Amino acid sequence: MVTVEAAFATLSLGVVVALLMSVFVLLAAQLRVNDAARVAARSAALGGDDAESLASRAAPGSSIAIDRNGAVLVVEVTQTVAFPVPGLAPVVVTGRAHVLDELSALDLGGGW
Amino acid sequence: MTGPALNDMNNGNDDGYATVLAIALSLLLLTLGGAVLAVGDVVLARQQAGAAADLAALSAASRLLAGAGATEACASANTVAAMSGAELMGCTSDHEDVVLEVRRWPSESLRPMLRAAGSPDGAVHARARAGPPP
Repeated sequence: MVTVEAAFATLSLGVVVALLMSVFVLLAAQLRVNDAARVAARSAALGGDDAESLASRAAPGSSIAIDRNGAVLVVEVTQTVAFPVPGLAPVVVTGRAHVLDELSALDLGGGW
Repeated sequence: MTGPALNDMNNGNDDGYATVLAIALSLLLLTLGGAVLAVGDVVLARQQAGAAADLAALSAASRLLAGAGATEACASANTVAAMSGAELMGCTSDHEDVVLEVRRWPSESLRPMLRAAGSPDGAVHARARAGPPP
């Protein structure tokens, strides 16, 4: 009886530990994509064309989308996170950064 | 005659021991998980405040570089900070340099904790400077 009980107890502890690990993995991934979006946005705002490579260096395996809305650039870096736990579906994390396109603002604003 | 030994009261079996231990450990780990979530929330807010400050300063500095005045530069910083979910708290320019501060709110429940940790308003603050290289 005790052996069966201990087996169940160990199993449930394993699940809790796995959940805790997943939280860490998720947090780390979120920090990475946020950072990637930031460096990419920084470059895009100044008219650089290396936003993509910067983002993929900051968050390997991520994909980037730059949305232009007038002078506003929205940089979105997404990454699929697989958990170190069997049975947990992968989650997509997104990091977003907003900047003004400084070069187009210069053109539009004349004196700016 | 002395009383029955402790084990005798339980007929000498250990049933339940592993479960009690597992529940105790689980509670401990879940508490740890809650702490990780709380710290994570603040860390993310701090990171996003930093990004907002950095990008806002960048915007203001490029306006200054393009000949705009301090007011216009700081207005641009304000726009960028607001787009990034942060509030511009201060913005000063010195020649072609801009120094500014933004704040960002973490989850409501964590603000008292931040207040206790020394942030007067319970928000996370970040400063950034931008300008042409010296």
